[in-house]
Amino acid sequence: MTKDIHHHPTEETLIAYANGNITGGYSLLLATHLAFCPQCRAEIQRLENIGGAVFAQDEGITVSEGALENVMSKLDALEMTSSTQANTSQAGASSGKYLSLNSPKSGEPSAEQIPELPLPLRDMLPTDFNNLQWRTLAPGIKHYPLPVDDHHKGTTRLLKIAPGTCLPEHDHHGSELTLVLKGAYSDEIGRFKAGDIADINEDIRHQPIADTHEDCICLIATDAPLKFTGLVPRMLQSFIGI
Amino acid sequence: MPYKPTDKRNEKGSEVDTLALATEKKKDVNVAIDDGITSEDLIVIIAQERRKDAFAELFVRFAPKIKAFMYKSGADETTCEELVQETMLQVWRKADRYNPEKAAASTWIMTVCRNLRIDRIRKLKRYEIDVNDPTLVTQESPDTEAIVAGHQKDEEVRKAMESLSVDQRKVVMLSFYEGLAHREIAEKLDIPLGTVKSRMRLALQKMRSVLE
Ligand SMILES: [Zn+2]
Repeated sequence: MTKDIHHHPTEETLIAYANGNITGGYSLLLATHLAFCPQCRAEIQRLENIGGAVFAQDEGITVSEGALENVMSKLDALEMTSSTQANTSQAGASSGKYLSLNSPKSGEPSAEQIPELPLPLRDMLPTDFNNLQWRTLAPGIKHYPLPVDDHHKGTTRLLKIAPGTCLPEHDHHGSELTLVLKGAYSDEIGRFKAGDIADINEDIRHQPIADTHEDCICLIATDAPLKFTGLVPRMLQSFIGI
Repeated sequence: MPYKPTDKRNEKGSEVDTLALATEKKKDVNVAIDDGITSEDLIVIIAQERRKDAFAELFVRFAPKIKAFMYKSGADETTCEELVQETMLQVWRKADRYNPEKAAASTWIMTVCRNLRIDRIRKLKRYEIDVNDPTLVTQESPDTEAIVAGHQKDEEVRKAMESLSVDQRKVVMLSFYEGLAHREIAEKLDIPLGTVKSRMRLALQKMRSVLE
């Protein structure tokens, strides 16, 4: 499916992820794209190599005299506890759960969906997409907020858009990242399928439409509330609070 | 459920890798720890043999760099010292996840530092993939799947940095060393965002041509 990924994060976004500037919902979304995209994984590795090079060539600052001795005694303490815990951690080792995006009853998996969700997103969902407690936002639009630790600076949610549904046209106050997990949507920028990421900056105004026969499920992270334009969308905004 | 960086399954996954490495490098058991040994080998020895002399040598090599990195992030002296120890303890605990084929020792230690800086100094959370997650999509194409081995020699790195203009070096340092976003760099240097982007692009091109 990698060759089907046409939309990647911008270089600026990849650099910010590699240098640790991106956290919270954005980092969850980028990590999920990286799981699907070996090309961007390789790019992150290259950027980290540069970061490592810069780190390595610094002459550094002398550490306090007792630091080594101090850390060695902490190491001894760590060794003691880890040896007693070794057995218990083995026991639960193979209990990793896999959530399939495929409906148990849906038969043939669609070509446009990702078979399994990667960590850490997988662990945030109590069940598969079909059994999630989706909440209705507007006709044809449901959402599922994710418990992302981002200090209330933005929102991270899954959005489920019924085929043919148009999201209200909106500007972006801050920024928004969207990653398609299933189905596809189109907007003024292009068509986005499973694995594709829409890295939208502040200047863009867009109106996405789900354009396949199946629901389009996206992971969407914003660092500021979306600002919908027009009367009805504004009413909708007060209703849905996004 | 909160994200747990130390997922039990990861550790199992990396144990397999370590076993493979262990059999491969059996002959190196009891290798002498001295100046001649690479930092990459030190981490592998720590992972396989839990040797404290290897750890102490790695500490001597990296602790000052870690302290400088933390200092640049605005941490005070006491916090810097604590984070040096914390970073090195994580290196000890996570050594079995280090893959010398994929990254230089300095790159891997930098990522441990980077994550601690986010966690302890910025008090934020960075989500990342588990490299041992079997659901990761892989690709046969050597072009993208062969991760660039980051085994830069010190001299090559110095050359790469020296190949940059003063302005380019500044942008690279603020981004990769201090962890600033392009927007923050633009504000700090009082230059347009577009200038940050173009300096960065040129700097990365130059560095890659020297390092790869
Ligand atoms: Zn990508």
